[in-house]
Amino acid sequence: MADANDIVTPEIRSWIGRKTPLTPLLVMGDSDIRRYADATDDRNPLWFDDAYAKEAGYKQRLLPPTLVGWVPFSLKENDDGTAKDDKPDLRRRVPVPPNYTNVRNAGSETEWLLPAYPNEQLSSQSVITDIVARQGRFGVGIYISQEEQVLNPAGQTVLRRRHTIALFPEKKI
Amino acid sequence: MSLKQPISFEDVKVRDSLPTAQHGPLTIVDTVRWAGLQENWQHLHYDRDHVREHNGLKTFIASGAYRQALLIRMLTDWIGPRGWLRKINVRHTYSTFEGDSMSFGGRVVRKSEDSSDRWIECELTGKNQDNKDILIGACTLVLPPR
Repeated sequence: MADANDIVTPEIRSWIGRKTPLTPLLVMGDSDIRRYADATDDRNPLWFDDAYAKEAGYKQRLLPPTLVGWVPFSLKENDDGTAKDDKPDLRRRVPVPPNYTNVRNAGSETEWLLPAYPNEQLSSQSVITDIVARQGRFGVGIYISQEEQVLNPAGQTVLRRRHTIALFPEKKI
Repeated sequence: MSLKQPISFEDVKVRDSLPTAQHGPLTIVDTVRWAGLQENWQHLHYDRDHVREHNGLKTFIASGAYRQALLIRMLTDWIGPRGWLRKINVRHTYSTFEGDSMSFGGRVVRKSEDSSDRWIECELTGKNQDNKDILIGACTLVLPPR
């Protein structure tokens, strides 16, 4: 079994601190909100009804929190369903061993600072903050942490997130 | 639709329980809907044969982002249209497999004493049908005055 200290090579470790430029995210519109609501059965009128949202103090209906911080980071932008190389997510570009294909969500902290609205062009910048290997019951996992911030068209930060993914060799029971 | 605010800052006390939200049993329709929304085509979330052969799992599992989205929905439903989800952290501790149920809940652990910044902090839990933890977390919610 691989030793945890050997997995994170100097080349992998050199990714700590790498930062993306401020990059536009795919715009979330009405179709995305409908598909989100179908997936979660979340029929909150704040996401659908401008008058209702205005009565609650917003300028119009909002993006659900999940559509600000999670979904835009996952969407594929190339015709073949792959992510663009300049996508604001560095974690999957870290040169981990080729058999480390078993990706798990290891935890996150997300902070919403301002509302975000449908059809707004949001942008994101990310930085790799930590890469460690840990020996677990099922082998050595590589844990990659990234901090992301999402800005609205006025340049205001609407969301901050720290997210860790864990990568394991293909067989992890 | 007329606005109805279900809860205010004054209504909530430390140690109060949050409402619980039940979901499941998890089906392939649930996971494929989420995979389609997120364009997450990992076999882990819908392909039984693949995960048995390549991951050593008994069947496919729910995406962590999907479980977190359900947890967030519980919170935004509870705090109402004038409430604000400020922060959440979540650590996933056990997978949700096809056929499993999910139950999300929590309790209030701290409350602001500053009437100009009306936040509460809550512990969050997610459990499966066997009462096994699937996630743990915490959140900060801002509530409107009465």
